[in-house]
Amino acid sequence: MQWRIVRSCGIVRLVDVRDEELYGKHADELIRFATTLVGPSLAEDVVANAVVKAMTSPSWPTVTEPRAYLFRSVLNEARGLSRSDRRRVHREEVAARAEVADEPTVSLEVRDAVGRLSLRERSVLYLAYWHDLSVDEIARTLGLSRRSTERALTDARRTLEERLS
Amino acid sequence: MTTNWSPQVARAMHELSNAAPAAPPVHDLGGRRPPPPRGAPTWARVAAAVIVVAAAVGLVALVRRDDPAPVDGPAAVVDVQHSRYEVTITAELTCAHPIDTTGTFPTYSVDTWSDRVGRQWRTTIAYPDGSTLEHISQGSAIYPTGSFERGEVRAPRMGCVGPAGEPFVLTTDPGVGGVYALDVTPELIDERPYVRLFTDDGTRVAGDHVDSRGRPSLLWEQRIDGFGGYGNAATNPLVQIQRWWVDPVDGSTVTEHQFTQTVDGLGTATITRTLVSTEATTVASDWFDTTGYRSLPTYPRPSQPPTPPNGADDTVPSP
Repeated sequence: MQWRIVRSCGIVRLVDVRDEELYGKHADELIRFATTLVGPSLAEDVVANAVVKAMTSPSWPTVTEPRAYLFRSVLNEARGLSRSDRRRVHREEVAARAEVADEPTVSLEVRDAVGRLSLRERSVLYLAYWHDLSVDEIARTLGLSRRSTERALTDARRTLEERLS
Repeated sequence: MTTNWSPQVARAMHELSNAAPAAPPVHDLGGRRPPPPRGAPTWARVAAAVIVVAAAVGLVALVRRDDPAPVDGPAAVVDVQHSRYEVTITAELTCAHPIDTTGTFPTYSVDTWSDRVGRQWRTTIAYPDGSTLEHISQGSAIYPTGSFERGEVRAPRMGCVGPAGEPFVLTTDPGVGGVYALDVTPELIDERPYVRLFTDDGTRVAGDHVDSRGRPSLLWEQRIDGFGGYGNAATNPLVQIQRWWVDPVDGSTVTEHQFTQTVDGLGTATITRTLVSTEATTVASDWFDTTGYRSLPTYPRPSQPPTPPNGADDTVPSP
């Protein structure tokens, strides 16, 4: 292992360089995945917390599919957000939109439609749409059954098509 | 899975994707606000200072096989500052399972060659068995745009192994990254405010002091109290102390740097880096050739300078 010294919260921590490389490789897709799950305001914290927890987990050294593990970690982290966190962020984003009109935001219509999807449906749809994964590949990535994955994907597509037509 | 996506689905996915923020930089991952655990008391952060530090130690005692001979004449030469350091890593561990340090060396020497005009730096770490770890940085001493390495790290990780096999490292010498320099001027001065100096983080300790080589010195010290543990848990009280011995003549040249970490239940580990010599000289321009080196990832300079630690606000979190 090769280590890099970083300072976090004032405390010196020693970080495995190879873990940094892995993060750098998947950071963009993880942040997009998190945005699909929890919206842009919470996505950074979700990714950061998920990655730290994953890479400091006792089982991390034995993980054979780190990319899938990181996606699952992000999904689990998103699940752990309280409803009050989500409501607070929604209020802040509504207020922020009035001030910063030129930043890309999610329209209310899309936000409402996606808000009706479960986290499972959002995550399945994201992996199918952006990564063109098969149902079996999605199921393996997220630790779901094939049947649950198929159903989540079907339900997600139908909900969005009905709400955004 | 190739499928025909409806315009509605495509719209939703693209809007979400376009609104995605930039991924947090790797050095900021551990500093994010953690979500409050359900049912657990909230706890305050100890301090907020995020920076990558590459400290070096000085010393000169070995004559190395690949020392570049100073070059005379109008051939392709480069003016450099050549510094030599010595590194010592020690530990007194009280845990049941210390990390295995077989095959590592707790003492070794480090040479650096700094081409400040061409903005390239070379570091050679020489271990007692003759093996070396070499690194070349280009563009920036702290956030290099090119980073190259050959050899292996042979410094020990001083720490303990937890019940699930996870390591907790109290100290080690990374051996990678940007320039390995103890003396922050001028390499790091022009990287300010993205680099913090001992004058930012430390407090001058009154009185007369000497470093490990008996050189009269000014002494600066920083102490940080916090919590750490296996798996990034905040279970064990810990103390981190940094010391800088500074040349009393110029008040800025760091001649020795020491980092000590003590973790309750695990023990204490210390890394000391000592400057032995520094001189202006010349080397052949191919001294910075990266042929045969492996390329390392580089990281962009952060968009915001690091937040300075606020000692007045330091609080000890309740586990």
